[in-house]
Amino acid sequence: MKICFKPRGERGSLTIFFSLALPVLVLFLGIMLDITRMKAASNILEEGLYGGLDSTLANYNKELRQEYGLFAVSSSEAEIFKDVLFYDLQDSVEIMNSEITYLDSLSEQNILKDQILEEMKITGLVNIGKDFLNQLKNFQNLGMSENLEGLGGSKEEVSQSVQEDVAKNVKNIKALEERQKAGEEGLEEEIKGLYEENKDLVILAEDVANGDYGDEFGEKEENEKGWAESLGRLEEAYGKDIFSKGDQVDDFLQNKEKITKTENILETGLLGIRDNLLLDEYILEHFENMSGLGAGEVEEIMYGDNYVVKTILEVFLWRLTLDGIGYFVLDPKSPPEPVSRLIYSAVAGGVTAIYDTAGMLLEKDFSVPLIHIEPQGFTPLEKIEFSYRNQLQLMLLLKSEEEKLEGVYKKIAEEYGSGLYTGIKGSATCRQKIIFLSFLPDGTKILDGYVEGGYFYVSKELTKSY
Amino acid sequence: MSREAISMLVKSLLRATKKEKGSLVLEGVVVIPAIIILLVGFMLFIRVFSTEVELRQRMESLSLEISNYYYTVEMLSARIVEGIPLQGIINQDEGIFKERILSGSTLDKDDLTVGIEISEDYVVITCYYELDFLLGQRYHLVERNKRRLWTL
Repeated sequence: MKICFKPRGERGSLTIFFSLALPVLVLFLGIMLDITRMKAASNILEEGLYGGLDSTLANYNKELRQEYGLFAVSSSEAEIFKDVLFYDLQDSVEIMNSEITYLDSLSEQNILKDQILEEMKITGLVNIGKDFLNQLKNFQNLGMSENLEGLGGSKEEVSQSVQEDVAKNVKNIKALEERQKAGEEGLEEEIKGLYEENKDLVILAEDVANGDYGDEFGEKEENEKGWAESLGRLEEAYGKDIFSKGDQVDDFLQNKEKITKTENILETGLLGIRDNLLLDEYILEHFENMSGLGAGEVEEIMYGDNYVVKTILEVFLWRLTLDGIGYFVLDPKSPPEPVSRLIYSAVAGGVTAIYDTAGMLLEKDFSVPLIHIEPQGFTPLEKIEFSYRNQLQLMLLLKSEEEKLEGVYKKIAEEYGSGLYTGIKGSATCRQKIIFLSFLPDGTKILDGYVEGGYFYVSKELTKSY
Repeated sequence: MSREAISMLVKSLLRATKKEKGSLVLEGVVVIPAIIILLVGFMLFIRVFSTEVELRQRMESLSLEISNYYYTVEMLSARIVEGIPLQGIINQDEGIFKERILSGSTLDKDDLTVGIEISEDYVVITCYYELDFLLGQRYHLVERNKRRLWTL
């Protein structure tokens, strides 16, 4: 029995076939195996680097985070990276070397600024909002609330208020006209002004009386008629030229380039102010000021060395300016003669400024009137409270962003050292034994590594930052 | 297969060997088994390798999750007192960790043992996996992963 028939002359062909095919097959599988292991080594190294870098960043300075809301890792703690990297890869590949480089230092102003803005984007805006509300409350205390309410109140209230004003003006006009008839000169302008004011008030009163603000929408014709009448009254009051500027407005609107440019300038300006305000709030929130004999960190950020003298002098000058102007302009006791008035304002302003400065610096949460005139009661501006914090806000706003950021970093570096970074770059080289491709000459590049001494070497670099 | 049949096959092979001068022996006895062994070996390697990769990825994902969201009871209390919103809570039960590793994977639940140690700063995961190898043999895979906790 024959299993397989082979004609004479083809004996041994199978042996030849397999002796050729088998090594090729073995080599193919071997190459596949080695390439898979090489690729795996590369991926494992990358994973290990990621784990090492993530762990290093996880060891961030928690005190700095809690105290100042900033994220940074210290350059002195590189061991974690190696520890985690070696632990993760110990069973898979042989690590030849590893290195960690710190990037994005907090000393770089754009990085520090970004972190500060991130930290203050909520609390800073809340603080600014609170300040604004407090100032509004002060305005309410001045008795302006009734006026504000009157303007925004019911139709009847507004109408009544306007009518009263008109009646008052009419009375004044009559009085002035009588004085004019009696021979008094120079009253024309005043009378004319009152007439103009009354015209505006009459228009306002009529608009309020006739206006229908949304209760009924079905009376289109009447509304149009009303608009035409209002327009007529406006032209009557202000002249026909009032709408003649329309063409110029159109021209301007067509000039899109100008508009875009203006918008850009406006946007940049507003963003700059916003950033500055948030930066100032950060400084005031996270650093102690001199008020109540505090540490004076805020002042040191602003002025550096000799900050005590510079701060006292600047606060005094601000107070002198505000109080001095108050005495000069608003104080009824001030002498009428200009030179005497100036001397009086300087002396009284100086004394009050000393009192204000001392109070704000020596006592915590001490507030002075925005314009301080003694005795009080002559100006409503006295009711606007101005604390040392407000004073610092004003002073900080006038400082450049660079100076403030430099000062903040200096204070942080004093406390936590200068090696504070927000990013890290890790690199490592590992090797994997080659089984089938070991015949490749040294230096052969394969995948993302190279072959040397029967090993596949691969190096990887990875960057991670906050 | 009967004894006679086997005997006949062996005799035929021997006769053929004399006539074919060994080529068929090479083919039938050496080459084909060699190829089979090679393919089986390659498949086993792929099986072990793919299991290892899968296990590594699952562990990496779990360690990342634990390091980002793990809070001890003390930490949780502190955060609640401070009014800081909780980002997430990781249950310390190892069964849940095991479920997380197995979730969406092709790994066998009975073959996997998960060990997790969470210290003050680190989470260390060790996974043991036994997979069927050949002829009832079991291959033991051990994978380790360490990660620092992102405590707040």
